[in-house]
Amino acid sequence: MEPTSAPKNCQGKVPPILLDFMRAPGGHSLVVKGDAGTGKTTLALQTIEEMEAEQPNYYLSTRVSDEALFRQFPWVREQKMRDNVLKAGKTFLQRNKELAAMEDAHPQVTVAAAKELLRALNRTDDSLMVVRTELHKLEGQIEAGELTEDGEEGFQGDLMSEGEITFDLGIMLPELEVGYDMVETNLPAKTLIVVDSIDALSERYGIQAQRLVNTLQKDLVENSATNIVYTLEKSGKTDMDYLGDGVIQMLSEDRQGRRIRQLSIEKLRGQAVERWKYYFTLNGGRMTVFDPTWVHIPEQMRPMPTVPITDELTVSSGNESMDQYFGRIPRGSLVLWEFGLDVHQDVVRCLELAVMSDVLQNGRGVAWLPMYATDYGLVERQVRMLTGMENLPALRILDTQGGSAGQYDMVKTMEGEEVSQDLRWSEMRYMMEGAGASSPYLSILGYDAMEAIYGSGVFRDSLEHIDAMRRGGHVVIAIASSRSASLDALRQQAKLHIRFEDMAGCVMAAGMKPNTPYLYLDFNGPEDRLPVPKLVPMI
Amino acid sequence: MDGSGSRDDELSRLIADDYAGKILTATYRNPMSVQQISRTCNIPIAVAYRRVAKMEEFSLVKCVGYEEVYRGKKVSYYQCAVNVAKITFSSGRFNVEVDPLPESEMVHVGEPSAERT
Repeated sequence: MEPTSAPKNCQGKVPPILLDFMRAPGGHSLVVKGDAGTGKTTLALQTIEEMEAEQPNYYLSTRVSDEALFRQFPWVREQKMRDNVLKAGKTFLQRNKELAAMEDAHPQVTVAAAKELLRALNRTDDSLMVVRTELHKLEGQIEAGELTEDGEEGFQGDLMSEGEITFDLGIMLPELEVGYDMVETNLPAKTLIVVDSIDALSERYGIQAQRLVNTLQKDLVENSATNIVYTLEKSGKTDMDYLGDGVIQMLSEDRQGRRIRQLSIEKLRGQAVERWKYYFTLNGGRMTVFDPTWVHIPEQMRPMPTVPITDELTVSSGNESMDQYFGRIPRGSLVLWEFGLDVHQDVVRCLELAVMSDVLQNGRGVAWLPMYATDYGLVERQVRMLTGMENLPALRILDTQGGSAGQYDMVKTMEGEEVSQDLRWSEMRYMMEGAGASSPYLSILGYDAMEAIYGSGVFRDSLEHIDAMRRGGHVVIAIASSRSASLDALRQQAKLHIRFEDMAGCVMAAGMKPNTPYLYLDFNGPEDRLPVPKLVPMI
Repeated sequence: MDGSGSRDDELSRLIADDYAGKILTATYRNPMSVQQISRTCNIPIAVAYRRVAKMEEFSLVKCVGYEEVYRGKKVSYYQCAVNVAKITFSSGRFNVEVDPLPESEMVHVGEPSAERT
């Protein structure tokens, strides 16, 4: 069954600076350019939706039929925008009526819109009127056959006196005239017009897009304080870049088979643009731009709810969203979490704390060799808060520095000579059994830290521990940076491989094994809980 | 190249033009405004005006009258003015012969059109 609306918690979000741009005094034009499928229409529709309470709107769609639009963006129907869409559609119905080709036309809409048009044209009172100088000039040029196909115009001014003008009234450029009428009806309120797309309108009229934009810019944007968004079916530098007050480039590119969606602000006259590049998703038919990742682990945290155990063959990552996208961790497997160098340490720490807390609360044992130097006292406090356990006998932190010997019960100091000795399976089993931990056990090994102590060949020497854990049906999570000397071997051995990377300040995860789209880590959540990311696919 | 050769070339190009062909067919004994032509023949409005102007210049269509539609605004009607058109290729060049539709077969609409300069 097709979805009829976006979930309440997935209403989307466009870059706030675009809305500020539309709200600034006066009229503004915004060119949204990009290839097919880059999200231009979604951005335009969502801008209308978010400005709906402040600015009446007119959506002029030329490429797709209304029903097709509703199918593609079911939420449009819910946002009471249908009337506006049909107003644009009525102009096509008028044409098609004469062709007698449309059986499912909406005559009542056509009639209503025509009445509205005539009402505007008949108006003789003192109400505010929109400037139509350029529109009339354009119509005059069209009628005189003076707009050539390549855009070179011989027209130098008014060629005909008023008495000689011959107009086919009101329907020469019907979509534009409805737009002008809407703006006039709404004056002095500012109207938001979306022309989707200016190329298609240009093709429909046989008039260069630049000429149409110039006409609208002078009449509506500059003289009637109207906001106009044009979508443009082109990428890169275009002539239109100079005509709009703002220019947005939408990009959709492939990175190793994964889609990357980007919105770049090339120009936004009058706005101080601090952030010019946004990654976003079109999940649920909505644009949601991703905020830069900012993780803060609170000083006081409530216990973490455990992830329900669904079966005895798998273990949770401590994060239901990660389990959903990457699958739960099979017992007897090596998992690789690869982190880009720019990913903040607190991101790694949040993931580590989540999985450890979940495992410990299920009565299982954890051996943890941290990726980064760690304040063990802080970790002990955090794990106690997250698990709600006063004692943590089943947690063993493997310390390679030696400075904390004897200070904390849970810290076991490693000799730092041979990793195969320090990670002896018999030792591990003895520790876990002594703590009364049940299996499966979990080892979390920070390979960059291990390489710093044991040398770059540490993976080979740690394989004995990994193999023993796998044979026993336990789980090893290897954490390595993208520069780790052990990375290639870990990738080859790992059953699950997730890569975390920073994109313009946004932390994304991508499943290498299994292959997944890029997933944004949304850390928004209650302030008194460990930030556990919800994953949002970039689709 | 003499002027008539160039005019013949332009005329032959015009007659061979897809849009011009549609306009001739649609307006044969059936006067239409340019906007009706645009809608009926599915020709972009600016292109329709341009073609009709060019075709009128070559006497392929003729303005057969106008109607006042609103507060002095007028709409002109055009009709195909061609009875037979032949394009022949001989001795390395194209020749165009246009046999105009007799005046008696033109359908007049509303008020007669003013002479255009």
